Amino acid sequence: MNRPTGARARRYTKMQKRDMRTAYLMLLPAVALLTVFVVAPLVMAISKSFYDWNFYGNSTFVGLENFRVIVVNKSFRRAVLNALKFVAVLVPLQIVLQFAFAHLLKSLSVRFSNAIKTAVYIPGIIAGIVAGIIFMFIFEYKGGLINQMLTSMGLSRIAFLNNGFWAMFSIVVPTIWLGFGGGTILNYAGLISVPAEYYEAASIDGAGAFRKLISITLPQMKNIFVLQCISMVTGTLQMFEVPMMMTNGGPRESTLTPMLYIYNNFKSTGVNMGRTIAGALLIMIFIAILNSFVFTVIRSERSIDG
Amino acid sequence: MKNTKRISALLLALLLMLTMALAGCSGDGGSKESSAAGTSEESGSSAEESEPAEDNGGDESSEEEDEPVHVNPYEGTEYPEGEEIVLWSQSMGDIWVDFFEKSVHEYNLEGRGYTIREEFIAGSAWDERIAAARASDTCPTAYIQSYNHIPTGVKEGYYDAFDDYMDSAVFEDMLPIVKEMVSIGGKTYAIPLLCEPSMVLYYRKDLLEAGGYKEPPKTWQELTDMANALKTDDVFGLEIPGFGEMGWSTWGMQLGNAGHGPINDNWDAPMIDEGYRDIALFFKELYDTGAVPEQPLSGYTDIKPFGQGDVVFQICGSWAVTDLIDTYPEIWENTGVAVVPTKDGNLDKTTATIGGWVYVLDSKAEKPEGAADYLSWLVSKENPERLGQYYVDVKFAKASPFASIADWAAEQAGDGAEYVDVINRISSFGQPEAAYPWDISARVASLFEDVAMGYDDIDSAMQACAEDIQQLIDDNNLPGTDPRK
Amino acid sequence: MKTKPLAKLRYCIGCLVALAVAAVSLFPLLWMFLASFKNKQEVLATPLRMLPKQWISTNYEAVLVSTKNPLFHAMLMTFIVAVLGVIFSLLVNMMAAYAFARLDFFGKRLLWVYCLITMYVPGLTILITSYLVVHSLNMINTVWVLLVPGIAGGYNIFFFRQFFLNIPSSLEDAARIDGCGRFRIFWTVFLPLSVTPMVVQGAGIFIGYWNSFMWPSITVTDKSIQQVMPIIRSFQTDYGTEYGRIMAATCLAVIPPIALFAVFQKHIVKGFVLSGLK
Repeated sequence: MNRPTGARARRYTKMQKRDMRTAYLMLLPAVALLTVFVVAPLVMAISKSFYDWNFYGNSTFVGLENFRVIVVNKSFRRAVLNALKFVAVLVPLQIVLQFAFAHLLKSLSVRFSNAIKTAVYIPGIIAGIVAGIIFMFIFEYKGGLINQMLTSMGLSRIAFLNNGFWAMFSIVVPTIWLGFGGGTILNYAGLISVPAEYYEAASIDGAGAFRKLISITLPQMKNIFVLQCISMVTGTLQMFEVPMMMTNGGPRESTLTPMLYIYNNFKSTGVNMGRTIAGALLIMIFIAILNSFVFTVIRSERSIDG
Repeated sequence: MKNTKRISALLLALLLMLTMALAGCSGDGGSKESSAAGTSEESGSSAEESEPAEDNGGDESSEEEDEPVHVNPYEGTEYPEGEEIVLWSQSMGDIWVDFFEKSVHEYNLEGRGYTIREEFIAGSAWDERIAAARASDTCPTAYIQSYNHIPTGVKEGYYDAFDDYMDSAVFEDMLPIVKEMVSIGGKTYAIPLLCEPSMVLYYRKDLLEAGGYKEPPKTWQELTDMANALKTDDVFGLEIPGFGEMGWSTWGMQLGNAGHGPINDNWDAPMIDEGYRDIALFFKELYDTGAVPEQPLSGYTDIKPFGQGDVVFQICGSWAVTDLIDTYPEIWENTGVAVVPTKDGNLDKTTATIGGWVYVLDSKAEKPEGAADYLSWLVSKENPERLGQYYVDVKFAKASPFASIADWAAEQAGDGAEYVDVINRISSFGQPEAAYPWDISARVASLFEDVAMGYDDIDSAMQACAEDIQQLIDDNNLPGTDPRK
Repeated sequence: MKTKPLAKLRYCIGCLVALAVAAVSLFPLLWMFLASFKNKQEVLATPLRMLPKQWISTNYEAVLVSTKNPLFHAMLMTFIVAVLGVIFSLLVNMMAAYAFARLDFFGKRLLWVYCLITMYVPGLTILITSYLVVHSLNMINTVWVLLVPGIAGGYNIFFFRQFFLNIPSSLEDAARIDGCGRFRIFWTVFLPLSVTPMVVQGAGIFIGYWNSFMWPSITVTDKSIQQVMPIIRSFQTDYGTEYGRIMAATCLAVIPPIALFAVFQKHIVKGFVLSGLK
């Protein structure tokens, strides 16, 4: 396979051919593992999504019926809308916060900023589930930290988890908290790797700090931003641990995320598993489309920059 | 660099100190235990194999033992020869796990031809574990389910009936309501372990007395009024389930007040009527008057708000008694347990459904006889103390599904435990949990939420609820599919 | 160093802001740490007290000594699995990323898309079918089921490819002129240059393994290889949550990742110096 034959082969030099063999060898482990542990289960899932599948009984082929039912399901639709809301809030907010903080750290001494980096990174190692437990305590109605502070200042308590706006707020905060350190370090790494000469040259040209930020830092950070954007959009659309622990989707499904919806369906006995998988596949397709949209937007911007 | 080093060193030192402190300060037994843990780490899982068959009579709690850390206090015991039968249980707290480890141990010692191995799986991953096992045909011979799984599970063909593998005397000993819950089409699909009414009212005797009330409330109106009269800045009136958990916790209330569930008997039309209007308006009244906190103080199954003295009343399941006695003894001294009030004050009707856990037999199991033998041994009429001990362990917060074991437990409970009578009274009017799909229950809960929180007025909310339920009936082809029929 | 007073002031304000952010970040953990020494009733008691009324160690005793939750052993097992996972994952994904970034081969675009697609597959979507796969491979209840499925990752490949694309090709060309093969170049040029992203990604992979909950809970019942998170979650049951124990177990469970990070923090800095990226 890695030895093109006939007329075709002549188009490759000897070196190129060797490179090709090397390339396939280097790709083999990753591609094989991905095939067995991601693609094969995915293909199986796709085939199951056309069946009324409940494990023990005979599964019957139902065509696209599973997809139809899940698409018209009100909760599922609401969950998708909520996910978009979370993306709209979380992605820009996180990128701005993390970049700003990394920028601040860069201006500080290396020793100091390293210590700070360690401190902000630590929450990132906490599992989402554990973070959910911790923040549930913080947002508790009576014994919770914030409400205790509010009442001691003579203000009235906030029903964080029983009110649409605040429920969303209480999910956004731990999510930012969890990702903040990692994102900051990634940004910091990016900022540090911007060649210092660029800034020196700009200073000679008399550019101010803001000008440098716009015309040097941000363009240089583009790859980092692309990475972050993609991982955040993907992550936010798949978010379910924190909402599961904090609100379980309530109140009135205002924090129900698609994955939480799937997860809850998945857990309940007697729900057609094919339908649940169909919903999960739709979300996957949705994530892929949204991501390619992000890709395209960023690509087109890049081409404008030349 | 120096600074970084110092900080990381500090951090590490702190963590190390913490670990050392833990190993050190836990006293003699503790430190021995944890150093033993160190050695067993190195040897990997070999600790299990080499564990001597220490006969400790099986009555010691594992924490007191002064021997190397291992998984199960009876691990490694030499049992008489027998075919291995695997069971799965959720690990529902120490009392549960201790009890069933001991039961299995004692059964295995008797050498009845089978050796039971029970695996305990965290409840938080339980449903996924079962789904995966079903998908790959690797279910254990028998496993734990709750009563409300039975109708669906039988319909999907997950369970095998026990009738062929057990003496029917076992089934005859079951209380009538339990028999109804575990039987489908004349066959018995589950061996029940316990019954717990899902709604019980806990109240603070001392606070009621101080407020001039001699009796707990009987009607919804009294409950609302008393909660409002007794609440202070620090103590809320009443803790009720959050809307997310009203789906199942209010089943009994729905059946008692409306006389039926949210769909008709044939499962082809919604029945959201006056009975449901009353309940929704009751919750609205609670929220509007501030009798309940704006947000529940904890999850429904947790008695913590009441135990911490944060509320005058809490509605919770009967299971909460165990936690109150064990964790919050000061509050327990002043706790009254009562039937949850009803609209008209008549307490001789359904206020709760009966929940609890059962063993079911996997329909693809190869050795169903083995599991059946263990379970008949466990619930044996002749030895009521076997399962009965569990009710003693949980302070009689749960009732026995078997008449003779219930009698034995009642003797152990003796007098002076009025809460046992209350729980029994509620149980006697209890009804089975819903067999219709969960989505319908969830939709009813959001009806209550819409009305109580003022998102919608009662008429249009009921209208919308009925329409959505009709949609669910159509989408899931429900008409005529009630497995209990 | 001479600085203007204004710049000095700004620097100080910057330091203060950074400190404040760090404090806010760490506060929930401090709270968790203190709560792990409280008894169950005190964890959420009002009025609020940060410090335990009485420092108790019973939570730690319960999680360390209890025979039901062999936390220490689980931490060791999880650590082994996670370290192996990091090593294999970095190797496998970086090799693939190198091929995509630097080599030309037939079907490159197709394979690239193939790898990228896997990035969008949510774990939950394929949870059951993945179980069927590992079951048919006879991996249930073995260490392999914990380790192997997590090794290859579309995102890691993507990440390293982005990074490799930014490495100037002049470095590579020099090595090629010296007659180095591709594997040699990968090993001697790209790996040393990638210390920083390796540490960053490695940390992520480690934490992914360390925090994984759903997968080990459904694929492993053998307690001798059980992982940390399922054990922590087992303190939360239908009949109430052992808050103090969860906090104690979590405090213990965060030690290895924090310690690792503290160690590798230095390498991040060194990485910059060595790689000459700055």
